[in-house]
Amino acid sequence: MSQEHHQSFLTKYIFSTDHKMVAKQFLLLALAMAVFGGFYAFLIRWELAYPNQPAPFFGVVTPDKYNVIITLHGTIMLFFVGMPLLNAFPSNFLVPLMIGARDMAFPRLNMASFWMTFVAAILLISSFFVPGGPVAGGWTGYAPLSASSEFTGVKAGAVLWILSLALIFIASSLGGINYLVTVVTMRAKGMTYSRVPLTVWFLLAAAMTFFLAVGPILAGAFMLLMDNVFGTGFFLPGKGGEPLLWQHLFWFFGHPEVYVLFFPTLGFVLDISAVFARKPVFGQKLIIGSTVVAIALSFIVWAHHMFQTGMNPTLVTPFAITTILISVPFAIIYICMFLTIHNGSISLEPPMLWALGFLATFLVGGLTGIFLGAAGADIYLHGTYFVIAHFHYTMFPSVFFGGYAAINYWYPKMFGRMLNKTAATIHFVLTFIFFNCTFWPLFIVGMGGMVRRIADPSFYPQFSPFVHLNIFATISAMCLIATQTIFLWNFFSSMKNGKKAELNPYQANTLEWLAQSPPPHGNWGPKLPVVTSGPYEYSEPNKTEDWHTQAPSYKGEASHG
Amino acid sequence: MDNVTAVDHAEYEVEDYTGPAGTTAGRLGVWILISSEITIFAGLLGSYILFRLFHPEWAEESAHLNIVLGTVNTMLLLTSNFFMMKASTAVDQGDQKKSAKLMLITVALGLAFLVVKGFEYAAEFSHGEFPSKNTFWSFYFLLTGLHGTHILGGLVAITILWAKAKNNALGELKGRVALTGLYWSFVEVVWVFLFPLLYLLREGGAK
Amino acid sequence: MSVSASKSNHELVYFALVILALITVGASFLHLPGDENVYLIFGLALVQALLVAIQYMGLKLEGVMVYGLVIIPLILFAILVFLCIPDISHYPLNLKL
Repeated sequence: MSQEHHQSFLTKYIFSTDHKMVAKQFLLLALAMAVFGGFYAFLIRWELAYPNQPAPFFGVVTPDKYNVIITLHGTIMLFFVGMPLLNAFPSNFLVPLMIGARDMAFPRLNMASFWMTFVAAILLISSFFVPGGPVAGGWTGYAPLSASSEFTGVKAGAVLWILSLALIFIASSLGGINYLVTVVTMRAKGMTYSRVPLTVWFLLAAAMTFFLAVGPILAGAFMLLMDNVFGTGFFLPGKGGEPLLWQHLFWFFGHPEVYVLFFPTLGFVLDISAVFARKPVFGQKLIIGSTVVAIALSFIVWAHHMFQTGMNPTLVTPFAITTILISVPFAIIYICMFLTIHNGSISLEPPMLWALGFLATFLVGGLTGIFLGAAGADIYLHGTYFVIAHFHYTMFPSVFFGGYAAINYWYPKMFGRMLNKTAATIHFVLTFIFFNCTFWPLFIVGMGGMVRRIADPSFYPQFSPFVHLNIFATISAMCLIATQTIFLWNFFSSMKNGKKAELNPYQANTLEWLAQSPPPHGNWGPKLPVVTSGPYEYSEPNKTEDWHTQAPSYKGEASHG
Repeated sequence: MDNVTAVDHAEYEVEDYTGPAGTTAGRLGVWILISSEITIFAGLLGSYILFRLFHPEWAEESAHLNIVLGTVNTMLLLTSNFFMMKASTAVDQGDQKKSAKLMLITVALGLAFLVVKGFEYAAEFSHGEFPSKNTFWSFYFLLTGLHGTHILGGLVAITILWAKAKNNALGELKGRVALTGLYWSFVEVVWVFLFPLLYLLREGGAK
Repeated sequence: MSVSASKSNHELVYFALVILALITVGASFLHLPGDENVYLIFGLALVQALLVAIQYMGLKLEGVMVYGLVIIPLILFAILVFLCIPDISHYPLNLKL
């Protein structure tokens, strides 16, 4: 049976239903959108350090442009970089390979999911070219700013923003349906749930959390659309509506969404730690159990984003308690991660560096979250740069450290070549240093009382003590962004010039390393692998080798030659 | 392109997964879709209920809705769903022609639902009851509009299946009839709640 | 695969649904003291929804996973509405409306 098919350029690269090609499309989309998001981050930092001076490649960031830029930075980084990079790309690429399937359960739905995401991205960017410009009400789209054009002067841009978000939410839900059905119905023989690698578990957890949480925000998006288009007043107090309802609907989705962007990284880091520490993952079942508890709790913590909004004080204490409570399952998972690498024979390959970097930096983000969960501290800190620093200490490690870990680790399988190790290591070290230099000062600035969401800090004399810290953060941020060019160069040049990769360069157990690099259409040879052991059986006593694959009987391509 | 995908599927040796009640991959997929849809309608109906709880005066607005046409629509949708179930049974028994006839009735009844809804909208517009009149009417048009969109989607799917089934050419799409029936029943369940929430809470309502 | 659907007596379920729907409409015309007719209407609607779900949608033959898919969103719905009542439905600014 031949794996070579006659495919035209269009069916192979553009309208492909092959899960690996769809995954690469999502990855490239995420990287392209990250360029936009990164450029906006640069403009934001520039304005905060050098207010009213023309920014390179842009010009003066006036307050109205600043509002547009922070809105688009948030929207793009979370929904068009985070979700494609951490959910769509790895789910598409890894789920079928790791469970021993030939493709997704619904390949065409998969293709539709990518193209809907693509159209959503186009809609968002096209809002630059409509009268009034893009939406400027913040990435959370708080009503009434987002519900009526009289406040920001943006009408068409707001409609495009809502449509774009609704479309990417629907696309991601459809993708999630696909991943779930694939794992339930298409596991290879012997691949029981306890033998499914944690990466797949966490990708599933993310997909499940997403499709359970996304309904209310879609409902809210429809209502917001009606407010903008048909002049209704769901969220406009002047017309009998309730602006807080939007915030409830938004954060009911928004908080689980944070975990949607965080779970996949937990999976990558656990799998990568096991391979590069040559040890089984500590407490696999405990980790899965904690995740279930965390998902359940994630649906009853949302109002901690709203302590400042004037919501009913009766709700504050219950939400503060659940918020503090949710750190317990995550602490358990974290301890399991440390115990996984504890006493291991660690090799500091680039993927492992990213995993360790994640452990170090996310810890800061997680611990500062406890400050913000306690309502008393939150009411002081929530409007300041402390929240910005906390949020970026959770999201940057999740999206970028986790994303880079995954790209570095699975690159040989994706493209059949190795990344340049020196460049990858330099990229990690510089990113780690500059990331901390960018965001650590913001904790201090925020504690000092500098409020967020203002364009020109020089306008407020009380913020003058923070000028030097702001300039330091901005220079670090510019270095951080510049560092990413090392990665882009490495990523694209290694596709052609990289060292040819072996089948299993890291001597890992999981199934994807049995397939060719890159895997052909259909992934496996004539026979599917038959799984006989778990994914983390490393360094077992009384064995000559410290690893053995999950499907030792798999013959691969050789058998039909 | 179709040729290529056909070949791909032929060579995949995916063992058919069968869960309880013959839950195939497709059926599980539709159930997850329904699960996701429940959360969307939960967000909308939940918002409506939250508003309704402190707006007892909406009972008056609700009294402007045409309860006769609402009841007729309930019956149309119920009957349409019944025929869809019959159609899916007919496919199981291998009688595609019969199922095509039953699906045609289903589509006709579904279209009748939309036509009646259109008359209701027209009458309401002529009384100046636009979505922007007040929040009750905003909710009314949004909820019925979204439900109507679901009906439209279902009708398109059933029509495609009917066009195949009448020529005895369902082939691999056989399973889709039952799956579309599953979705169609869900649209019916949504209406079962929409109808009383919008039309029937005229006396007292929730105070 | 609609093993489940073909095992149900569609006619019986259909007539039950029609009668229940008519009673629901009738109940809305009752002048009961307090909120009784509200409970009656939604009780009947719930029975109809369960009939459709169990008989037509084949829920009676499904496994734990599908029940979870139906019940979890309903629990989330209850949580969302319950926790928003103090904020939306009893927000002091709106009491004078």
